[in-house]
Amino acid sequence: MYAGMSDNNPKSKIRDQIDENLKRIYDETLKEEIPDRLTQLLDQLRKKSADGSGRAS
Amino acid sequence: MAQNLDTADTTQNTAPHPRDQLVGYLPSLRAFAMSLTRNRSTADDLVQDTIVKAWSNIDKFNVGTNLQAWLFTILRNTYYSSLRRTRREVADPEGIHAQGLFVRPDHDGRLAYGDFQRAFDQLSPEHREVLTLVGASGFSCEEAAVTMGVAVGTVKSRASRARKRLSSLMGLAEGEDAFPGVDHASMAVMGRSGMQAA
Repeated sequence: MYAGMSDNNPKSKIRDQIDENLKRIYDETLKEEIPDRLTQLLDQLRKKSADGSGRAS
Repeated sequence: MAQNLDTADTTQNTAPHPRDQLVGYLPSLRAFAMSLTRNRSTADDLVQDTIVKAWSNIDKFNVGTNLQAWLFTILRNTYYSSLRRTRREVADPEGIHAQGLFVRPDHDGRLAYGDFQRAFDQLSPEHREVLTLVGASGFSCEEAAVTMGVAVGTVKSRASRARKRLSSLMGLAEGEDAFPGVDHASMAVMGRSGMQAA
C-alpha cells in the first residue's frame, strides 16, 4: 500500500504517518471489548433461527 | 458449498457457515462504524443493524467471496441511507478530541495523534471511509471499490483528495504534490467523483 517507494521523501513520510495514524485510530476500536448487546444479539438470532425453520441451507 | 460433497460428515473441515463467522467480524465492523460515525453508541447501533440485516440476508452472500467486504457494504449502505434521512444531525465525537489545543508536529516531525484525530473528525464521512478502508482496514483498492460500489479509480482519487484534505487540516501540506504516490492521471479523470466526496 505504501511500500517504501520513496522513503527519504518528506512528503511520502507524511503519507506514511497518516497511514500509521489511521491504523492507530482503527486498531483502538478493534481492540475494544465487544459490547454485550452485540454478542447477545447474535445469540438471540441463533436461538430464533434454531426454534424456527433452522438454518437456510 | 461445493466442498460439502466431499466433507459432508466432517464439519471441522468445512468453513463455518457465514452466520457463524459473523461474531469474528464484530471488532472490524465496530472499527469501520466508528470511522464513519465517530461516536461509539451510534457505531454500535450501526453494527447491530448490520448484523440483523446480514443474518436475514445471508443467503444473498456468495460463499467463497469476501465476507468482510460484504458486511462492510451492508454497514456503509445502512449508514449512508440513515445519514440522508438525518443529514442535519451533527456527529458528536464524544468530546474525546476536543481537549487540548492544536499542537505543531513535535521536534522529530511526527504528527501529534490528538491533532490527527481532530483533523480526521473534520473530514467528511466519505473521506473517512475511503481512508479507513485503504489505509487501515487492510483492504486493497479493489476490495474498497467493491465495498463502496465505485470504480477502483474513484477509490484512488478519493483517497488522494482525503489525504490532502487531512494534511491541510493539520496545516502540513497544501500543494498539488503533497503526496507523490498518487496517480495524477486518474485524479484528473476522477475529479468529478472526488468532488462528490468532498
